[in-house]
Formats: sequence, C-alpha cells, structure tokens
Amino acid sequence: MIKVGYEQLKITPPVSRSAAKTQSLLFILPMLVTTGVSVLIFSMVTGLSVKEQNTYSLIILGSVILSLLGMAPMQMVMYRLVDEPEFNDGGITRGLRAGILYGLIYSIAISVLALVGFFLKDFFLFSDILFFTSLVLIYSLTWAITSAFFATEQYIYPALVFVLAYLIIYILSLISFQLFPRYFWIAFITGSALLPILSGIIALIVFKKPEGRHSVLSDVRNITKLIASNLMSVVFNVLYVVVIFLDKLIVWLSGGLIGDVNPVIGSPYTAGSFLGMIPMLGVCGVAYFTARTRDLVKFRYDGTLAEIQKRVSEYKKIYIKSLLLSMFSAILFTLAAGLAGYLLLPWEVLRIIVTIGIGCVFLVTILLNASVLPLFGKTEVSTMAVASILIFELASIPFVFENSWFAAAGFLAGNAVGFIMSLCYTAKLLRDFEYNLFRFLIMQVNK
Amino acid sequence: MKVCLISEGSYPVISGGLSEWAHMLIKALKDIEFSIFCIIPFEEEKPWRYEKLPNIRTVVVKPIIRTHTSGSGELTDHTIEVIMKEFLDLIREPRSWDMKSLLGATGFRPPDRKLFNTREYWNFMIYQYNLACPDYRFADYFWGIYGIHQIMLDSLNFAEEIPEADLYHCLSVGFAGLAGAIAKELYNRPVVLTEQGLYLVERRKELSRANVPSWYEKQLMNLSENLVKTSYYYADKIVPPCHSHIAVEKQLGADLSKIVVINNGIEAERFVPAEKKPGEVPVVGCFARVVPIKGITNLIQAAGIVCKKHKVEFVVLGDIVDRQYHSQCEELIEMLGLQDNFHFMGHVNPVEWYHKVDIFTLSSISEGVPYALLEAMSCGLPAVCTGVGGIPEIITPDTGFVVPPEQPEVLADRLSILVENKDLRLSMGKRATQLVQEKYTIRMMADNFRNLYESLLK
Repeated sequence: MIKVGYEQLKITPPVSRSAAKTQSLLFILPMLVTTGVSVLIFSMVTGLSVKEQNTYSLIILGSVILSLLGMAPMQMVMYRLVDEPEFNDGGITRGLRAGILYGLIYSIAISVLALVGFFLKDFFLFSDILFFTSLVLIYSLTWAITSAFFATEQYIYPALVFVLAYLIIYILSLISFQLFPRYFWIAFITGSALLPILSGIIALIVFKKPEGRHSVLSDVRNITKLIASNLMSVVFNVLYVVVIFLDKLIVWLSGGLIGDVNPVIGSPYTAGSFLGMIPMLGVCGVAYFTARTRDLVKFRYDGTLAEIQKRVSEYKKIYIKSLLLSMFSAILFTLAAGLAGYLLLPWEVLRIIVTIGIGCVFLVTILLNASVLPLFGKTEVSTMAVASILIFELASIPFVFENSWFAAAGFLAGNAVGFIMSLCYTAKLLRDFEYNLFRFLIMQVNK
Repeated sequence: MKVCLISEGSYPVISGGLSEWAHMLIKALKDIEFSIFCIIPFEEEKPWRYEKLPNIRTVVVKPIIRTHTSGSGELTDHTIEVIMKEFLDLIREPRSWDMKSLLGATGFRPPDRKLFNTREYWNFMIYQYNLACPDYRFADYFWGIYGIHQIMLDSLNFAEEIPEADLYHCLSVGFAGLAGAIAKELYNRPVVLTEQGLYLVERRKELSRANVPSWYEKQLMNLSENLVKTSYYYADKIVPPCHSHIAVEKQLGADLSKIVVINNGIEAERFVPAEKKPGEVPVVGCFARVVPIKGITNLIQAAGIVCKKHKVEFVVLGDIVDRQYHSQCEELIEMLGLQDNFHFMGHVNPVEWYHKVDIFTLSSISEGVPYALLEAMSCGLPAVCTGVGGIPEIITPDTGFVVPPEQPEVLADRLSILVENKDLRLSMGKRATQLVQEKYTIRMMADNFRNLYESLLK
C-alpha cells in the first residue's frame, strides 16, 4: 500500500533556456532546409512538360504523405518505449528493428497497390512506379529511424542527416536537370536514399544494443499491444498527417474531376498552401517546451506537496512562454510569407498563404497542447481537435469546385475550432494542475 | 432461530484458534440455523478449511481489499460531505461512526468510488496532509491514505452483501464489528460481539513491528479505534472470554451493562489424561508458535536456571513463524549450553504431546484465553504460565502457578517446584482436569451462547 523510506527528491531544475533553444533550433533546422530544397526542386520541375510536372509532384508528395500516414504510429511507439518496462533492455534498438520491419511491409503493401493502379490505368510509366515505390520505402524507413531520435530528444542527428542529404539531393537533381532531365528521378532517389542509410548508421552507433535475446516477432507483438492501448495517440498522429495534406488533396482531386484528367498538382493552390505551411515552423516552441519541462514532468510526483506545487508553477510559466513563443513565431512566419507573397505572387496565391498561415498558428497551439494533455490522460482532446479540422476540411468540398480557396478556409475554420477546444481544455486542466494530475492516477487505478 | 456469524480473516476459509472456536460453537448449537458472512483480506478463491456442518445454510465470502467495485449509491454533495467528514477523517479524535447518517446519506447503498475523483476529496486530502505531515513525500502520503480510504469505502458494500438473519454474531471487532453495525442499522436485529483477543492491542503490536511512518501508524490506529468504538456502540452484548478484557473494553468506550463474560470451552472428551511412565526425565512443554510475543527467550533463560539444578527437557511445540526470532532463540540456547535440553519440535499433534509432557508452560508477553492451556489442563497437566490476558482467571493455586511476564527467574523457580515434586504435579494435574470439566466445556459455552441469543430475541 505504501512505499516507505523513499529518499526525498528535491525539485529538479528544468533544462536551461539556452539548451532548450538549441534543441528547438535543431528541431526546425531540417524543416527549413527540406522546405527550401523542395521549393527549389519544384521550381526546376517547371521546366518539364505539364504531365511530367504533375506526375513527379504527385509521386513525391504522394510518397511523403503515404509514408507519413503509415509510420505515424511509430512516433507514438518510440515515445512510449522509452518508459516501457518490457523494453528496458535496448528498447529503442528493438523498437527500431520492429519499426524497420513494419516500414518494409508497409512499403511493399503500398507498392502492390500502386502496381494494381498502374495496370488498371496506363497514365503512369513503369519508371514512375519504380520512383514511387522507392520513395515510399525510403521515407517510411527514414520516419521510423528519425522517430527514435526524436523520442530520445537527440535532434542533432536528424538535423545533420536531413541537411546533408537534402543538399546532396539538390546538387544531384541540379546536375541531372542539366544533363538528363528525364532521369531526374534517379538522382532524386539516390540522394533520398542517404536519409535512411545515414540515419541507420548513426542509430547503430548511438542506440544501445539489447543484452538479452529478444525476437523481433515478440517485440512486434508487444508493440502492437502498445499501439492498441494508446489508440488515441495513434489516431492523433494519423489525423495530424491527414489534416496537413487533406486540403491539398481535395483541391487536386477536384481539379482532376473538373478537367476529367488526373489530379492537377501544379496550381496556385499548391504553391499557396505549401508556402502557407511555413508558420508551422512555430513548432520550435513545442520543442522548446518539451525540452525545458522534461525533468519537471519526469519528477512531477516527487517531493512534498509544496515542492510539487513549486514545480507546477514553473511548468505553467514555461507553458505560457512556449505558447506565446509558438504563436508569436507562427504569426511572424505568416507575416513574412504574406509579405513575400504580396511582393512576388498574385492575390489568389497570397490569400491562400495567409489563410493557411493563420490556420497554422492555431495548429501549432494544438500541437503544443498535445504535449500537455497526456499528463492528465486527456489525449482524446487533441484527437478531437484535429478531428474538427478534418471535418471542416471535408465540409469545404462542395465549395472547392467553385473556388479552391475554400479548402484553405476549411483548414482555417477547423483549426480555429480545434484551437478553442484544445486551449480551453488545457487551461482548465492547468488551472487545477495537482488535482488533475492525481485524479488521472486514481482513474487509472480504478479502471 | 437464524444466526448470521460474521468473521474476519477466520472461519470457515482460514484456520486458526478463532475458527476452531466458531466451528465448535456451530457444531454444538445443532438446532440453530447459521449463515456465515466471512470477510477475507483479498479477492481470491478460498476453499473451506472445515467440515461443512448441516446447520450452516449460507456462506458469503467477501474481501476487504477489492480491485474492482462499482458502488451504486448516488454521489450528491451531501453524501460526499458526510462520508468524508463522518467516515474518512482519520485525524479527528477516534469515535464511533454514526452508521445511520452514513448509510442514510448513501441511500443504504455502497457509494461509488468516483468519490475519489472529486475535487472535494482532493481538498480533503490536502487539508489532512497539511495537518498530518506537510514535510513528507506527498505521493506516499496520498497513496497510503487513499489505500485506507478505499478499503473503508468498499467496506460499505457490506450493506448489500450481508445476509438477513434474526441475530448477528460478530466473531471480532474490526471489519466484522463494522459489518455487524451495518446489519444492525439495516435490519434492526440484535448484535452479539465476541472478542477473543483485544483487537486494538493486537493492531498496536503489529504496527509497532512494521516499519511505517508515524503519520501512517497514527491514522491506521485511529481507523482501528474507530472500528472498535463503532463495534462496541452497535453491539447489544459484548462477550469477552475473560474478565481481564473488561477494563480495556471499558476504556475504549464499551458500555459496562452490555458486557457479559462467557468462558471458552473445549471438547473435554477429546483431551483426557494419560498414564505417565515412572522414572523418566520430566518434560516441560510450551505449546506456542515461535514468535516474539510468546516470550520464548524468557523461557530459554528460565530453562538455563532450572537445568543447572535438575535434569529436565524443554520442548516448544508450534510452528516456527518468525525465522529471525527462532535464530535468536537458537543462539541463546547455544550460549547457555542447553543444546541437549531445549528443542523446537515445530507443528505437532497436540493430544499426543499433551500425553508426553509433564508440565505445561507459557511464557507469553500477551495472550487472550489460550486454548492450549485448557486442553493441557484437561489432559491433566499442571501449568506454569505468565499472568497475561485471561490466564490468571483460569489457573487456580491448586492447578498451577501464575508468574509475572518477562521474569525468567520467577518462572524458573515455579517450574523447579514442579520438577522436584512429582506428587504436586500429579495432584495439580488431577485438579486441572476437574476444573476444565466444571467450567470450560464446549457444552457450557454453547448453552451460555444459546441463552444469550434467546434473551436478546425475546
């Protein structure tokens, strides 16, 4: 009933501000580089025929979206494995083995589906299928491995790998466009392959190998159970990927339906919506928050009540700072993107950039709250918040045929609702922090 | 007549002295229909340890510590307030709980465990923590007290589980007594409470041996005292097996007019004297489990004194429960050079050994009314025992000696008298057999209880 003789733990100071800032910078650095390189590559693609442009864009974006969707549970799994007693012995390495196996199976399944599509419709070339399946495999493995680095908060490795790999992708793509534009995809695959290869090598060096013998199959079984018991987190991760891309998919598919052709990728909406995503860089606030509150969270139940309350008050302060930082940086990015759009792009694109940008300001807050709510066992609130985005995006479909901007408006409205929902709930929980913290435990005990 | 016997951690699924007592009582009261409400510590399947007697109609076994329970009682602000203030508060002065307002507040149904999720409960915990131990690790305090509260709240489930009867007989205070109080409030039937051992004294000893923080010990002791006071308050008759319990019971708030002593009884026909062979080395037998409370080290010291003058053999007959204490005893035996004279025999057939032993001894620091003493006396053994619990009321000057506890020299002196004087041993033994037959038979005990039941039902 009681554990007596505990050594009383003193309040653990939170990670210093400078260390947290470095962590958050490392978190967004690869995002900046990949966004920049992607913009440059897409601008090169404009030199090709419209059909080729569409095909390449569809393949690259499709593989990114599908791999992210498929590997979304791995994010949650890796975070959980860090604390899972079942995986005490070399847990991350074992999780990675299972994740890579899962990534392989998933890529094969997706490739088979793509092949079926290929045989049903002769729009794509066989090289397109090869391009697509290779990218799905590369990205799936990359997400699996990087999720391990993120879970252990070793942002430096994915930052280095992504920066280096994307610079090489850019150089190889540039050369191939100069010499053999039609074989651009081979250069792209070669560069992209560096992502899982380099990440894998680093993971082999960094993560401790298990001392005992653990079969991959039994680990997969345990991970499956872990996913089942954390279904809400998985749904959140999947929905998060879906809502990021759903507005674009709606526009592409509706464009295809109107013109009775294949999905139209190269459009003002694509440019506007992707540029509008730039404020998502405000997630640096989330990285800052998780880094600074790591020890406060770890030792949240330790010490006297006065010590717990002191720690809670520190946590709240950091939350408010991070909230302001996320929103403020997201607003700044929106303004910057808006200004650039105002100077360089037509009104049609600018309007999409600003709409999506404001939506992203809200989305960043939803993400920040998503890292607070599990403390109180309220993961479902974050899931409901992203679900509301999904609903509004779907609700925009009838209007998109009239004007593609409505997809962005759906994204914005959904995010605004999700933002209110998640912020109100988080504020309510934070107001009675200690009570809600222990209440969650009691509810777990009485489950 | 339908009697519901309420037991806690004993009859019929856990064996021991109290269970034997209950079994004998039911067996002797053949014409009374019994139902058993047995409270056990944990949720587990427990097989019967006793022959299923034909006059036992129903047996309900319920745990104190429950993993899952869904109380059906509605949780209003009033219910929460009453439960916390009147029931769960373990910092206030110990008192008898007001079962009427407590059960009335919950509509005579067990309250929902959701009570623990409420803000009121959280505030109550914080308040209690700040009063009890604001410098202690909060999580430990919270879970420690929450565990106690959970057990307390779950015990109110008894209201839906206890069988209906004409009369309730609690075999002990504590949760059995609480169940009796609940039954009294529910059915307004008389409640008899027997107290073989003194619950609070035993809890205090248990807790002093367990290494727990002072705030925890205090609140657990308060819980025990609340249980005792409630049991006494709701009982129509309190039945100790000896007069020595009365003072303690009175001190804990028992109404003197409710107390009636009924001597324990044994099946005297099972415990008859045997012929002793002449010229053998006298054997002194201590029929007790090897635990510190039995004061075995005092007996070893006394044996050291006796063996210097006489050729005597000492045997301890009972389970070695406390290994550490047993090692201490062995060390002392070696130190005093008693390896050939002092032996631990473990669990034995008592009747067989009553016949092998010449003198019965108990060196206990605390006791209730030991059955072994009555059985040994019935078998014609003179006794030398410490004057604790009900022992001084049983041993008369012509059946043995009563010595002060923890004084090995006095114990040795009295044992020496009996070792030296075989005739005295025999005469005291003979008288002891007579005394048991006159005052301590199961028939007498059963008749006394029957009369008590009938008087309460009139």
